[in-house]
Amino acid sequence: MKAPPFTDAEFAFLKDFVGRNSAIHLDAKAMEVIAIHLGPVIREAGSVPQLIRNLRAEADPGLCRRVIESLAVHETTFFRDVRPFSLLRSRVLPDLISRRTTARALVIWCGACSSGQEPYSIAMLIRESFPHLLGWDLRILATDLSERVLARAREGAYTQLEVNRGLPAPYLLKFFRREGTVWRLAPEVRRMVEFRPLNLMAAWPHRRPIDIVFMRNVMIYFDIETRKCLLERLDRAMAPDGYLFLGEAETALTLHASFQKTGDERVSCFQRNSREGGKA
Amino acid sequence: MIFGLFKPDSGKSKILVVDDSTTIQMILKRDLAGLGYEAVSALDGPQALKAAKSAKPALILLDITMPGMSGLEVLKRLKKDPETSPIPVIMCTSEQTGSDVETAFGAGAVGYLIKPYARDRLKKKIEEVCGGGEAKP
Repeated sequence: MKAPPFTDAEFAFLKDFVGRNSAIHLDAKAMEVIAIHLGPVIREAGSVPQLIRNLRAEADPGLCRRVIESLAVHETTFFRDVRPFSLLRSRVLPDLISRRTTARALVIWCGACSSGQEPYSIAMLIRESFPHLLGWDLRILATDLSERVLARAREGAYTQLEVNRGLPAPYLLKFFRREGTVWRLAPEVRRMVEFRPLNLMAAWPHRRPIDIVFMRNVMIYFDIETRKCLLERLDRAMAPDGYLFLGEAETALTLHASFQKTGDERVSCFQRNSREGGKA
Repeated sequence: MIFGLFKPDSGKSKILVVDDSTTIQMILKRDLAGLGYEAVSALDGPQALKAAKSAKPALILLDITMPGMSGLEVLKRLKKDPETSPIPVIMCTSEQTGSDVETAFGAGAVGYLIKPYARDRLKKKIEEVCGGGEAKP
């Protein structure tokens, strides 16, 4: 039998390092797959022990980023899974709009926005179905760990393959312009979204309670303690009647009593208990 | 109403990944995305049986060694259900354990992958199993 690619101590360090810097949970079952994906950074360092020494020394700030990016997922599409966006349009936004008629303010947060398709889908949906919200104090904040994908998101330029995946043709015609080989999103949609780098384990930038959180296909990669901690923090950061969208496979991961399943059975959407009522 | 224009999900480029390791899920999702496929995750047998029906994947990558319902048991149940039996299943295993692989083929698996799989091996296996069929990105 082949020797494992990391000693117990090396793997324990990597697990802790990656967990602290990205909240991504590394489990021992995946050790060999992890070694393959870290291959380029291991070769660059010369060996696994040297990579560990370099990470411990914290002398190269880019090294941490390269390690995380070797493992993180940035898969996303426009209107991914469709149903959450249908629910957003048919129920979540109408409900919150009716509760916020006095405050005329809404905060929406996409917690792992990758190359921007999710927050831009929300922005396009609002322009199309709730244009009066453009006169409100509307904030769509989109964060991700990776500066590289955020730079792409800010560009708002997508390949033919990317716009073919999930984007309805009328949206493409209405909100995008062809520029050579890419499709560029209209500036008025790009301006609606504020992109920022954020490690979910660090302090969050929100000053106001968040009304809608999209944190889909994120917690599935965290261990149970990290999930609990994130849900606790969401509970504190969200409006009392705020809505939380998780990924399809994440229903069973909601271990917090404050969030109640709502809407379509097939959508992982949860509303906080309205104990404190609306804030309008 | 523009939302009426969404086409129903055809599932053409979806691959269901069944593995209790969230790290393997994450890395496979990333690799499959790079190959032009969309990965749907299931962390255990019951989730897998449910997702095979709801997501209608073109292919299933199924780990043999899982706590609770084993990969082989999931495979048998998938093949027993007329709704899920046509979906090709590739078994994933950390070592080539002859008898498990034999049992899996006997139960209807179309191929197997030995972990750790690099992206090119994954691509080759998917293409080998699906050929010009539905799992083309």
